[in-house]
Amino acid sequence: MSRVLGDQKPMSTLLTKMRPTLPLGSTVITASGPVSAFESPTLLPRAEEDARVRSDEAVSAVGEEVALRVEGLTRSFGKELAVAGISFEARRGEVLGLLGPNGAGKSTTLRLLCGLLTPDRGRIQIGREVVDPQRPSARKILGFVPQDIALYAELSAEENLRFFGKLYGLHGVALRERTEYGLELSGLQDRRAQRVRTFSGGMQRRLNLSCAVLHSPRILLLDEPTVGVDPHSRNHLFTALQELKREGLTLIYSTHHMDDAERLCDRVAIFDAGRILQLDRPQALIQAHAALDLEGVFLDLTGRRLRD
Amino acid sequence: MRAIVAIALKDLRLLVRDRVALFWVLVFPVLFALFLGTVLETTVAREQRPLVVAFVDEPSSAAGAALRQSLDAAPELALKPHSLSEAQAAVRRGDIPAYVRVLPQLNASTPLVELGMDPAQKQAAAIVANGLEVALTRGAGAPHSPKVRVQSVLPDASRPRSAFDIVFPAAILWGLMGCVATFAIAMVGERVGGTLDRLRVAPISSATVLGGKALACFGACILDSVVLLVIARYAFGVRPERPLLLCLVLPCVALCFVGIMLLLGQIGRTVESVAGAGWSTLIVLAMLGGAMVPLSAMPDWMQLLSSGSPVKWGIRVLEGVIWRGLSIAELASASALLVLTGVVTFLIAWNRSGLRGA
Repeated sequence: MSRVLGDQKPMSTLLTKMRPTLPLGSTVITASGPVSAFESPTLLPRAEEDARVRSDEAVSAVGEEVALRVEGLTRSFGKELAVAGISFEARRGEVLGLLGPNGAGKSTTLRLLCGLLTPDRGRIQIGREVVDPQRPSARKILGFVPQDIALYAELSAEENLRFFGKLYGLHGVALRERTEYGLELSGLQDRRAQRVRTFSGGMQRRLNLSCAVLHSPRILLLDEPTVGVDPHSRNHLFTALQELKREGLTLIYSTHHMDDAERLCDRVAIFDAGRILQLDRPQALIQAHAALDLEGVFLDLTGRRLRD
Repeated sequence: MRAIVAIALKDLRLLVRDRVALFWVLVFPVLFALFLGTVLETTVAREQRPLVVAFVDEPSSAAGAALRQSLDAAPELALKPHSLSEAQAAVRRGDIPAYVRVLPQLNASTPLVELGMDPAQKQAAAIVANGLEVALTRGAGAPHSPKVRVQSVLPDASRPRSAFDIVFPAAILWGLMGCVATFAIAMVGERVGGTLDRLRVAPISSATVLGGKALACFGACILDSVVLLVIARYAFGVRPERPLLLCLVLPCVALCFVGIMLLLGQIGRTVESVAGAGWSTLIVLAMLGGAMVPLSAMPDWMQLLSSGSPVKWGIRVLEGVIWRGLSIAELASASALLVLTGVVTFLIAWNRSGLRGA
């Protein structure tokens, strides 16, 4: 865990200035003891934040900032080993794709990362801090887009956004601004007052994404977010995700769609039977396997046998 | 024709594989027939089955002993000696339909016997009154009937004003059961739809999630009860006897049903299974608790079983404040039982919910 020594400024000034700029999990040493950076949500504009935190980020072997590091993550359901001691890291502003057949352990991995499941073994590190994603303080820096359209059908788009914003402690002007941001991100400004049940599948998917980024998470976990959407909505989702990436968000993106992965992901981890078979840039994998595309690599690694 | 048969066979196969549907198609009708059949049989056999009546003779007197002997000969009555306060409390609570109290006979115009009756069990009380008249006439050995003073056990002798006083407590309980079913179904809907996952990944504790659901159900139960009471007041003239105590017992009843809601929300994996199992559980509780037919119409064993239904205690406290005029002490045990049920079911639901960790 990194420690940032307090300077000679008054405590309130120090905390106001430093807390939002701290890397995840870092600790300020103050006269009254350490104060964890997890204790308050970080909602500052990301560009402003980036410059300040860069020096304190964990770095990877190739010298890049590591946003998320997973080591030996394991989870069983009864006798079935769903995730078998996987390790990987995702860099800041990177889109890391999780590819694999049904039952490979992608969704379980995401559910472990966002705290919906407890790992049997292993550790999750965000920035330089080992975290327990089940703790509310850690959840403020994670966003999760579930595979299901997890929205309240009888609430309007705006009501859904406001509700989920409030759960993350947003209120007042911040809530209004983030709600507008969410409506803009999903392209639903004109339909803000309409109930979600009247929306098309694509509109619901877009709103599903917006609800997960209202609180300005640092890491966004996406579980097959483009299932069942038309090409226009899919394109809109990709544009939104690329925009989030440009803002410095780290995306962990689980999908079945190879073209999605090729288009969006900086690196992909190919899963099978709870293990990561290979992790690299899509083009590097394609070249290494002498395949035409990522689907060829995928079938080469996981075989052609049906899995469900 | 083959297509029609194929479709019909497919639909029948789906019906057979749907356990909830099978419950409503087969099990519930049998349960309903058993319940009503047992109740009706009890009513038919009431003449052979003695009514339990409290007998008060304080201080013991020769006249009292003679009356006791005569009443013991009446096959329709079974006397149980009680103090006056015990007897009045039992009738006020509705546990027994009437008490018979021997009064000191000062002169010829003084009533000989006081009959305390539960206004909600008039039919049973009438049987007691008839048996008493016969016993007194036989005991006196005279052609004229000795005097009987009929005494209401309620503070306001005009209570209940109408049958609506008696039925509205049960109606409120039905409203609460509607709230319970609706919220339990919505809860599993959240789990199936994925919004519960979204709540669980938010930076709030799992107790907050469950607490929010409980609070919503609690609020709905209170609001529903208040609306029903307003309708009862202005449309049917039902005026609560103890409005302040009503404000105390209503949250107890609501709390109990909130716990039940949370538990029902955990018993199934799908909306359909929770809807089916939830309503069937609630209907059984309502049957046993006296929300369909009065407890007094049930056989003894069923009345014993009814103590396991919170519906019985809910009706008891609501009757107590709406028209029986029970005191806070008389309401305390039933209210405590309701709160306890709420807390225990909440804890079981919390344990089963998986919200403590997955």
